[in-house]
Formats: sequence, structure tokens, C-alpha cells
Amino acid sequence: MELLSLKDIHTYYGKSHILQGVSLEVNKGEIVALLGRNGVGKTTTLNTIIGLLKPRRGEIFFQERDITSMPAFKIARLGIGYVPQGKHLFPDLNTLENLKTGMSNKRDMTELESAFELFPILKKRIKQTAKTLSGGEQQMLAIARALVTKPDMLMLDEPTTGLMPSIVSRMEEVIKKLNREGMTILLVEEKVPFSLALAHRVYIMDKGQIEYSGGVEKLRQEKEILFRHLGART
Amino acid sequence: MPSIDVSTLLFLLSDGLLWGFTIALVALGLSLIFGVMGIVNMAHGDIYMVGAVLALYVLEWTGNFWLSIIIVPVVIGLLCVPTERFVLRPFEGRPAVTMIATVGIAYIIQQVVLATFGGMHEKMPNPWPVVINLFDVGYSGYRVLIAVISVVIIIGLWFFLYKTSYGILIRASIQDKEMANAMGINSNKIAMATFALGGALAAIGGVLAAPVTQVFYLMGADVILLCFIIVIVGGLGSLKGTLIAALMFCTLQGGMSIILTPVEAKVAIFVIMILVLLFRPRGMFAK
Ligand SMILES: Nc1ncnc2c1ncn2[C@@H]1O[C@H](COP(=O)(O)OP(=O)(O)OP(=O)(O)O)[C@@H](O)[C@H]1O
Ligand SMILES: [Mg+2]
Repeated sequence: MELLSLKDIHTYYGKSHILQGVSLEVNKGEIVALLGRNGVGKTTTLNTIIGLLKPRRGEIFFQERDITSMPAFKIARLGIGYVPQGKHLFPDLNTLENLKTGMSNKRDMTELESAFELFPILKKRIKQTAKTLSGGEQQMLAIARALVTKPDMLMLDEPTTGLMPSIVSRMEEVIKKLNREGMTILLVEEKVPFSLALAHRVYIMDKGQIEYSGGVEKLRQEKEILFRHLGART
Repeated sequence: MPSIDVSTLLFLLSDGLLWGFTIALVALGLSLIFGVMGIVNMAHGDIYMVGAVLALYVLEWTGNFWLSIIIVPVVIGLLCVPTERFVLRPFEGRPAVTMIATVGIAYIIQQVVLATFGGMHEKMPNPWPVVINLFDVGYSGYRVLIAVISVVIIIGLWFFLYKTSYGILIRASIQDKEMANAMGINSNKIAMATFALGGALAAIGGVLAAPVTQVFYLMGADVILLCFIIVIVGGLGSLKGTLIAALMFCTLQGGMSIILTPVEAKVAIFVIMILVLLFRPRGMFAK
């Protein structure tokens, strides 16, 4: 079942035409990876989905509702949890307060408890302001903050950038676990092996357009595509 | 150079500090509105002025000044709601236009007060004519009382912002409005509530000040200038900075009045602002 679909999306920053007709779908229960080199428009795509940027053309549907011109907060409340590039935690709020920004019922402890179960270290950092956490802890908090909104789909933008290898593999486990429990995930990544290990399907972007889409197995066999669009050797 | 007598200096510093708590209320309102909405509210001083004028009316109608501490901020807060919705929100994301809109609001407030209340200076009777001893000088008990009331309100405000769920959402919006939106926080509602809260704080300031100043339709001008300086020096977006800068500037202003005329003191305040900004261009507590 289709959870999210973008149909011919065109997004601009002022006069510069960034997304030039992006179409993609994410089905319920999938992990979809959106790959591409620096500056091709991956983050712009996610910001357009969540409604922080408005497309000039095209349509976006989430759970069969047209969200193209909805304000961001309404889109988020429909069930999209966003973990943006650079985390964008609220730096002077502590761990607990950051989590509470995502909780519609601030007294509902079950969501909090499951977030702490996933990332036990956060429970120890509960009173610490976000800006004083380590990079890995900040990324965990960013994911936990998105999860306590009880989303149907999680959008992760480069969740492993700048993390130590041990934490990267921990993130891989977490993403797998969430997906096993039914979470749909749209993942933007630079690390190709990481993405291919997780994703069911892959879109590759270049210069604001989707240049490739297909299953992971197919992509593994077409190494030349990876090389052409990502400069990656696998 | 007149010889400076220590107890006089202490007296003047304390007088300044006490007044600083009331100014802090007004400045915190301005700071909150700027932090959450990105709006430089040019009407803030006139909302303060209306607070003072309405306090006079409440006294006239009910015979009880103290009622105005409750009634006036509530009335002003309620008036701020449609103002935000229909005057400011249409210009959201265009700070220059919004600022001009608040200048328009300031003019409208001034002219309405001029047309109804008139252009004279009114003195309100002291609602608590008690004299206390401050460094061997007889001092107005009412001035101490309004400092205490202001402190209580500031503590309440801090509790609201730092200990309640709604306060968390307001602080999150100050720190990263886009991300707050992406978390499902309705920033329009937060902006509306903040504008009402900020207006109510300015109005309480006006009410408390009414018995110790001349109530006059242009009385907001001096206060808004001081509050702008306080918010800038404290650091844009830092409520703690605003509070500390308010207390600091008012104490200094009090202390300086021993050697400087009021006009010179105003110049000195600017000089201090420039000095602080030379060393900390984004204010004392900026991020
Ligand atoms: N705020 C902005 N104003 C103007 N142009 C922007 C802005 N943000 C991004 N761009 C431009 O839009 C293009 C796409 O940027 P985007 O951030 O979506 O790329 P990305 O694929 O996420 O890259 P990266 O891998 O570096 O995160 C880039 O060319 C970038 O320079
Ligand atoms: Mg990006």
C-alpha cells in the first residue's frame, strides 16, 4: 500500500530551480533510500515533503491525503517523524524537554519509555541540555524525538554523518529494528554500503531529478549506475 | 564634582534596581515577542502607556486601583489576539513590513488615547502611601511593593516558560521555529499566545508604573527605547539576558543620576550599550 507519493514535484529556492520534477513513492513497511551526491536536492526533497518548503508544481500525497499545501505542523501530525540533517535539536532544551516537544500528550509515559528502551543512554542524560550531548547522543535524541510523535513514517536525513563506526552500526540495528516493528522509513544517506544494507528500494537523485529507481538487488548488479551517479565503488 | 556620599549612592542604586524589576516585565514581553515571532514590536511602549491609562480609568470607575493589576493585562491580552491574527499574521515572514505594521498600531493607540483620555499629564494618587526607611532616607513603600509584585510575576513567568508543557513549546519555537513546525507544533497558535502574553506584560508594567509616573499619551517613548537597549544588550532571544540587562541598566541609571542630569544619563545608557556591543556584538547572553 502506498503511504507517500510525490508526483512531478518542482521546488525552488528563490529563482533557483532545485527539484525539477521529482516523483517517488514509499509503501507501507518499506525502507526506501534516497541517494545522491552533495547538493543534488535530497534535503530539499524531505523539506518539501514535511511542508517546510512549498513546491511550485506537483502534488504530494500522504495516506491518500493531498498534503501539498498543508502547513508543516499539520503534515507532521498526520504521522511523519522528521530527523533532519544536522539534527536540529532545540539546543537549550534538555533531553526530556526536546522529547516533550514531540509528544501530543505530555503525560503519556509509554512513548518516552519505549524511546529510552531503544536508547538507554538518553535516560541518563535526561536533564542535560541538547547542545552538551555528544554527537552520537544528539543523533539518538533526534531519532527519539521523532519517534515519540508516534509517526507512521520516519524520514532520516544522513543520520550517520560524523558518527563513530561503532555508533553507525548501532544506528543500522536501530533502523532495522524499527522497520521490523512496522515503521516505514525514508532514508537519505551518503554512505552507500550502509544504505544498501538497509533499504528495500533505492532512488538515486542527480541535479534535482530522479535518475534511477529500483530494488537493491538490481542496483548491486548495475555497479556502473552507482559509479556514474554516486562516484561509489562497492 | 560634588562629593559623593555613599549612602546616597546606595539609595539611588537601590531605587534603580527596584524600578528595574518593573522595567524587566516590559522588556521581557518585548523579548518574548521578538524571540518567538521575529517581530520588533514598535507598539510595545504604547501598550505600556495604555496599561497606565486604563489603570486610571479602573480607579475612576471602581475606586480600586488594585483591580487594574488583574483587569488591565487581561483586557490588553485579549485585544492582542485579534491584532496578531489580522494585522501581523498576514505579513508573516516579512519582518520589515511587520515592523511598519506595528508602527501603525503604535500611532493608532496614541491617537485613540489622545482623542479619549486627552493630551494632559495625569498624576494618580499613591495607592499605598507608606514611607519606609532606605539607607536613612524616607522611601516610597509603593515603589518597593511594585518591585515585589514584579518579582512575583517574573517568577511566575519563569515557572510557566521552564516548567510547563506550553512553556517548552514556546522556548522550542524561539530556538528553532522551522523544526518546531516540523515536530507538529502549531507556530501560529504559539505566536498568538506569545503576542498576548507580551502585551499583557507591557500592560502590567504600565499599571504598576501609573502611580509613580506622569500618565501621558506619549509616556511609552522613553520606556520603549530603554527596553530596546535592554533586549539588544541582553542578547536577542535570551530571556535571561533581558532580565539581567534590565536590572543592570536600571541600577546603573539610578547610580548615574547622582552625577548626571537625566539627559546625560540617557546618553550614558547609549554609550554603555555601544561598549557592550563592541565586546559582545550579539549581546551579553547571545548564542
Ligand atoms: N537555503 C537555501 N537557499 C538557496 N539554495 C539552497 C538552500 N539550501 C540548499 N540550496 C541549494 O539547493 C541545492 C540542493 O540542496 P540540498 O540541501 O537539497 O542538497 P542535498 O542533496 O541534501 O546535499 P547534501 O548531501 O550536501 O546534504 C544545492 O545546490 C544547494 O546549494
Ligand atoms: Mg542534505
